Amino acid sequence: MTRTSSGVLLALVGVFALWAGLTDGMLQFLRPSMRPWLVAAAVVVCLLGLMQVVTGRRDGAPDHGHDDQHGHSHNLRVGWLLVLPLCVGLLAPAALDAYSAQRSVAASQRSWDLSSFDVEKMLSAEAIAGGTPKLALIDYLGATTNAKGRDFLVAHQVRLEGFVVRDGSGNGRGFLLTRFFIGCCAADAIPLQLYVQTTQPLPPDNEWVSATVTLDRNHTTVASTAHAQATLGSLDAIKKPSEPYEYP
Amino acid sequence: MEHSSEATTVGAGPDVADPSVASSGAARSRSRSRVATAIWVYLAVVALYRTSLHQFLYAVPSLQYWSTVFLAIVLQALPFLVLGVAVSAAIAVLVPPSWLARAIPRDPRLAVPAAAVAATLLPGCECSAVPIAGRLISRGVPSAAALTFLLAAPAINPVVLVATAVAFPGHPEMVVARFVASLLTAVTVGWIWCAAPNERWMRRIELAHTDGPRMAAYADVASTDFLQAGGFLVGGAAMVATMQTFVPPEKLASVGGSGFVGVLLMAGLAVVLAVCSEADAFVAAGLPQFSLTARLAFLVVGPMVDLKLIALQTGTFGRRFAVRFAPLTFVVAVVVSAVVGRALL
Repeated sequence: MTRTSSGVLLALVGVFALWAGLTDGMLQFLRPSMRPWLVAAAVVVCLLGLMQVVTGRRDGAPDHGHDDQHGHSHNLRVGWLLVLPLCVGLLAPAALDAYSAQRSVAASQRSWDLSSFDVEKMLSAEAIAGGTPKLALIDYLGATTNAKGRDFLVAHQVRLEGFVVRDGSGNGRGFLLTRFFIGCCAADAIPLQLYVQTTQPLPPDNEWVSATVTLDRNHTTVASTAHAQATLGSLDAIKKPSEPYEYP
Repeated sequence: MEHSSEATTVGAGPDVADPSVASSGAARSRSRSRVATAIWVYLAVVALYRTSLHQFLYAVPSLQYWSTVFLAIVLQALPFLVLGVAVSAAIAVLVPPSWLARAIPRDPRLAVPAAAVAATLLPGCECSAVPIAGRLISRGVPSAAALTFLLAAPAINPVVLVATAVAFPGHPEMVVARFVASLLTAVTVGWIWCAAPNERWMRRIELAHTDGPRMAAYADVASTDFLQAGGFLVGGAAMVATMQTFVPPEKLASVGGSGFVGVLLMAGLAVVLAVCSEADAFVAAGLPQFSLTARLAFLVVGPMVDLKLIALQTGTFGRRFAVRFAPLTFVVAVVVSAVVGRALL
């Protein structure tokens, strides 16, 4: 690899990372707190690439003789692999969806030890008095793990946002309200799912919805691998949120 | 400095010392520029026809899943890799070789625990630790100590331990067990590496030429390191994404397993999943069908041995090193996790 082509490659990688870091692109893959790190890294890679191009031009482009002695070209062919994320990135793949949720084991949040989680304390008094407070799916499922939280969710309707996964098992009529929880990036995503039963026509797979739900008391004490179950109040289709995942 | 006389098996092409290189230099140069041209043309074609290719990608859900996981791993690792490369280049250009040699105990057996302690203080990540460890070795740090640093830095640092405490709210002993087991594993592997005839398995890590202006030398070392480590990272990410797509490991995990079988299963899962050390505690917490000891093995093995790391280590230290070091670390980590798990969990 000549110095000029390695410089161009680095600059392209940097520009791609910078584009992802400055737009909603990164949110399809990473948690939002990674943004400044990604942008900083992208700027460094861009600058490195530009410096390589400049020195490559100044020294006369094909500088194998010089570089081979210092290991510049040696073993650097593997660097061409960096073209791969550029190609995949150009095709702009989206966030994880219903397909990903169906292929992984439903990680019910009940298995996490959240018995001390207090949903009432988390919500402000006004939110509860004003009607239907909005909850993150992870908080909702966390609250179903303890008796106090269950009582609250049976008594109060709350609003949840997520996408639809049609239930293949045919356990009554309903769908799985789904959202992914990610620790660092989409590669460690865990699907959070709530079974929502309804008599309304079911929305299609992958549609993002805002739903008001009431927890079904009869289905909150089943085996820990089963989904918590709730009854649907109202259902609205919404635009996919810019932050499609939930984070710790 | 430790280096073998043999040429590395990584990358391709004859060694520079080979006299035939000079005569075939022009031909190689021509073929190389053809490869470069082909790759640029390929990239341009993808850019031009992205809309139709995009539709194709969407039509195949598993391909789309692969793309998302692949890009997620690459973008996630990028900042940490850049950090590692930046620190590594700074060591190469700014720190005199003699200084490090004096700062670190001369006896490797003492340097190993010292490196482990130094690693606990740095909030590193597995991707940054590899280039830094490689550079430390080229600057005269005993290889066993640098490798202990490599294993310990991503596994036991404040950020990772806090994440573990958050993911296991009811089990503070998990944090203690993770710290103890990771530290023991890193030090044990370091000591075993002291005793083994280790140097001839490691690729010679070339000293960067630091002639000319410092800034230019720094940029040159950093971009060389980045291209190499980045290429191997991309290869590792592609392997991990392929594993996750075609052999759904979580389905494998749903089988569960008790006793030592569960420990082995979770350790194997850590290798193929290659979850970043800051996030692995959440994944482990979501797999309650396994015992706490098995999940401890997942947390200890994950930051030390996984597909992405093996690829990075192959790039930095050579294949002969990686095929020995990864299995050694895996076995030690599994045994230590089982013992510590029995004692503490």
